Amino acid sequence: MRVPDWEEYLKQVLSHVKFKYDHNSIYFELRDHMEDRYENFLKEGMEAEQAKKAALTCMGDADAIGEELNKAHSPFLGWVWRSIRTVFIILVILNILPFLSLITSGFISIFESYENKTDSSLVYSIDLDYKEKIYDTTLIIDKILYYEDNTLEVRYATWTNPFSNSIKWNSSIWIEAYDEQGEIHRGGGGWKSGSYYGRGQRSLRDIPSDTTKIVVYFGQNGEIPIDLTEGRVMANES
Amino acid sequence: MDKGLIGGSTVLMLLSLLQEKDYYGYEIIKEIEQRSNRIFQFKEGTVYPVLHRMESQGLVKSYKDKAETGKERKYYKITTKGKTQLAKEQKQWNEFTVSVAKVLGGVGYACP
Repeated sequence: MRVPDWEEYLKQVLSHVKFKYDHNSIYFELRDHMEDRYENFLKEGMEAEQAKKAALTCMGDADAIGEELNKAHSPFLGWVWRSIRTVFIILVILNILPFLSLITSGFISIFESYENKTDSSLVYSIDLDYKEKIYDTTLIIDKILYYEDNTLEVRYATWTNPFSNSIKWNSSIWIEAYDEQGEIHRGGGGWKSGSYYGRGQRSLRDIPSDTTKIVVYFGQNGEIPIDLTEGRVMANES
Repeated sequence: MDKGLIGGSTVLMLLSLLQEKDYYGYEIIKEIEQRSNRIFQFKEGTVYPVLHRMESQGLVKSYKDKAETGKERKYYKITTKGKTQLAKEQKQWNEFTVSVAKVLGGVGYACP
């Protein structure tokens, strides 16, 4: 039942209650009360219009009740509770995502967003799909690509458990290349996204095509040697 | 007695009623009116802030159910914590009323 005077009264009461998420239940509880009172008055033989007014008068001062209700519905505790719930849900989702990606590596390709090099064409690529968990961070090396302009590129992703309390180290990688004689010092560049889940690309310039090995450094102790002579997919053959 | 429900004995009255059975707000008002022969006539809306605060303190729990009229109403149920609180307040109340009675009744009453 909607009575304009009642609606106005309820609005006035609720205007004092700062925690908006409880407005609905307060509204209905008070309105139901007035309805019950109204019907009771009718049963006692009161005129409808008078009963509507009387039911309203019985409720008492809207401002006083609104202020008391506001104290009972502490916005602070309300928000703390809501925030905790939201954060919890987000953390659960964050923890499920990498789990999926580790089970089905196809997950990564769904969000594939590596930048493709346009100024030079591909010579060969190596699909690695290498995964290693280093403490609380999982490093996934997707692919190694080698271009005609002697650029070597590594595509990778990392996942860090948000529940871990470790210091979040820089989760980008570092690469060194080697040939028969030893280490080749070359300049390079790269980018890395995300702090919990992120992907990145790293490249080295002026790498000779006969380079046999690279070592990917990750975190404090991660040292992953990768043989460049195995698993090559030549671009001009495919 | 218009101040009624904001006063100190309100929680005691509400807990005491809710110990008998679950009530919704309007029923509580009717029940108090009847039992007190309309001596306690307070503004009806004031019962809700008290009930809501009792709920946030964990003394009562609310749930939705169909009333005898067939309409859905918000019922209040006393919790274990509420029952403990009731016992405590009842004891205080008894001590208070006995003391008042003793004062009013004079020396002879106070020293049986």
